[in-house]
Amino acid sequence: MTKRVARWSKLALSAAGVLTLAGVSISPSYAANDAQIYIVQGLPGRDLDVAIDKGPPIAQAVTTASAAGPFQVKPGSHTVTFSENGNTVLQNTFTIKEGSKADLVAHLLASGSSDPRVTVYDKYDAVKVTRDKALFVVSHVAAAPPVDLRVDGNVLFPKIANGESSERRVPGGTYKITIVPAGKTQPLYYGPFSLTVKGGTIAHVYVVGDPNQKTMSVAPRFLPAAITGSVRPSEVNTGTGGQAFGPGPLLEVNLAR
Amino acid sequence: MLRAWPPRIRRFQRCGLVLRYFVVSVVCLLTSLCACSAQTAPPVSTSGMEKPTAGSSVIPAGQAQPAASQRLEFIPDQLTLPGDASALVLPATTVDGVLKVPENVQHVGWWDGSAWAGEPFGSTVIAGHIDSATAGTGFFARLLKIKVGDTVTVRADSHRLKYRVTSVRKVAKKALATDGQAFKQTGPHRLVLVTCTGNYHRDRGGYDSNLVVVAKPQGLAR
Repeated sequence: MTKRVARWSKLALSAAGVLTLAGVSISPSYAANDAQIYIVQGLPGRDLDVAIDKGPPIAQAVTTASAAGPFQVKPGSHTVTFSENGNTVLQNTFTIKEGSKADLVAHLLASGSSDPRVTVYDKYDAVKVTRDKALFVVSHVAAAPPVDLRVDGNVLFPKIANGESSERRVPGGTYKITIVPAGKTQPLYYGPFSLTVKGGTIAHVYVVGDPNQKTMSVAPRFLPAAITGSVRPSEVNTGTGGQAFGPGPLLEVNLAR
Repeated sequence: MLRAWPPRIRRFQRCGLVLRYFVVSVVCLLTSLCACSAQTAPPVSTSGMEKPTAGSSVIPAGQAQPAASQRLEFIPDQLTLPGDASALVLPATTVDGVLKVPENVQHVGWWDGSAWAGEPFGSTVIAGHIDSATAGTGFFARLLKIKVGDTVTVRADSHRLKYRVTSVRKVAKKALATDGQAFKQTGPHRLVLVTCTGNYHRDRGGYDSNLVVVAKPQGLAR
């Protein structure tokens, strides 16, 4: 019995492999369930070529603090390779879900060690915002300790560490932003810079670089979001009986301030 | 409803992968079974054993993690006024310029275009009946007695945010739309409670004014 099961599963695995290969070879066009990726280049001082699996480059000479995309990929596991002048700089595997959106971010670790890293950000799919507001996302992918992101002088995003993200809903508008060590106002890691966000969108700021090398920067990503909520009302009619004040003269409402 | 991220993302991905292989295996098993029974099984190709991904020496990418300091923002589903009086909060939409609050006068409505509790900017608007011709006095008749300094709490699941009342104002109905505090989604976050007040006009079946209660958040949403 055990033998038979083993043989069947071996056969199944082999057939799976054949089918997988066949599936790849006969359907070069992209299907509706494909995932969509953007490349965010957070490695300072490099112009990087990007390839998925063993294919040709999908993007070439992507400069620091810029994003490239969108690129369609099949759902499942892949390998992303960042190279410069034909030399591999960074290679990681990643997994992506059917129909989803993700950013693949090449970046330094907090220690600034020579080993860079790819981090996947894939939280866009369920986001809904109102017409007036944007989802403001901040991701720390710099060679720096935890940071505060100050918006118009206030710490809107406290203590984000390398590899972490934080998000808040903000009204559409232009904001003045500075990036400082968590809990401090000096030294100024980056800024002040202006960021304009539109209602009904996602504004994602990647904090990249290394303050010790004076390569701090930000890579912004702007995406449309699903809109939720109705328009601003002009009228609220919440009394149709008159009982609250009872019969006779109206009671004076307490308007003390 | 909550903005907190699910920590399940990696597990889901792994499950999805396992599930995919399982499904593919089962399909292939069936195919193989049919092929065998017909005595036409082709020779097994060993190249089929290769994994679809590249060499196993490549390490997986990291997954962005929510910061421990991620602030909580939530859609309220319960409102508690002084005296421990609580009401269910339901989403309310604007139809032809009018905010449609719940018919049940013991429930109140959260304008679905307003801020979630705990957002950094804009008003969280909750409106409700003071009374109705058919159902009598409503939950928000209690706002007639609310005072500056009183505490109001909104909740959802196990989360809550307390607010302290900073102003109670009577606003002419026609002036509500342009009121500086009521519906604006800019400026410091606040909770705005709206009902009717003023003179009741029996002939028109309504009041001539709105009561606008503004409250400021006390600490962070938990």
